[in-house]
Amino acid sequence: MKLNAKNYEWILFDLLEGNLSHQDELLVMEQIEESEFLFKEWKFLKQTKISADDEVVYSHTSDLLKPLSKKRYFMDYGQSIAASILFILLISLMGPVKLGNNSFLLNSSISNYSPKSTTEEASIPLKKYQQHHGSSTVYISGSSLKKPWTSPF
Amino acid sequence: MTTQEYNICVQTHTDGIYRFILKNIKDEFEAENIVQNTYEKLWIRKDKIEFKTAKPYLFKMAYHEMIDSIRKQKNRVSFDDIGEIAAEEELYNNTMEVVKKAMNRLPEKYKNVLLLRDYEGYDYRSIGKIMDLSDSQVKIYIFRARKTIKAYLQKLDVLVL
Repeated sequence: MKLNAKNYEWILFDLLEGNLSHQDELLVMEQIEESEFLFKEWKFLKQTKISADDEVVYSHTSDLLKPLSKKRYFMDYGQSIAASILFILLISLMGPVKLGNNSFLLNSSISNYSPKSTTEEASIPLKKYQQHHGSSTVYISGSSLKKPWTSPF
Repeated sequence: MTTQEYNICVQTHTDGIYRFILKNIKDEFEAENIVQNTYEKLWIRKDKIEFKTAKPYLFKMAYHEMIDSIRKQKNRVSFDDIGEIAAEEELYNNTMEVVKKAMNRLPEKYKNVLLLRDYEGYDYRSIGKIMDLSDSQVKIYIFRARKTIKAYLQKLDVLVL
């Protein structure tokens, strides 16, 4: 790539714009360094690159923002209504069966209750205690609740 | 595009659009109005626009809003004034100031392609989509813009020397 009077402006422009291959860039740079005229042209052309004024900012950006909460609230509201309806339906279907079971438990099972699980095994030490002391009531000795509390001051 | 994505666009691109507009229109109030109108349009059409293409779309809308505004004002400096630049015996210490002054005297299309190229780093195709130009037109406009600014710098350099 040889620079001449006809093409040098476009080639220097392409160099500045990054349109040349790496190999062409090196070739052009060599010619720029060899020629005083091209060196000056390149120097001025490089200065035409402008940079943004970062200090210039739009001061009302927050006014342009749109609230996210409105739509989310609507969705949550809709979901909660749907969930409530579903819950009421489930209660209305399941409710009578549960209540029937509960009333059965309350009326019949408490009086006839006899533990058959591990809780029965857990009550063995208490039974031994009652056999020794002849009482079904156990008091906690040294309980602070027996005396009214008085301030030390 | 969701509301959340719209808000991301606001937070990410607003300053860039504002700078781009303000470079063309020296009126801060008008630039703010254009930014606001651009986002209003985006909000209205957000369901039809994909988040990925939102940035060029925003710049395109802002660009067209700006063109409308400029047409209404019609107080822009014409390209013919560029010949009078050398007659100004102003000395600049900061090269960037000189470049910006030169850029402000460019025709609208030249200035806009250069701003989109240098400020936003857009390629020729993206700039073309924003400004309804072909890739080659964009390249030629950028070339002419740089050439004009370079000539301005060279003339000032001669004056200073």
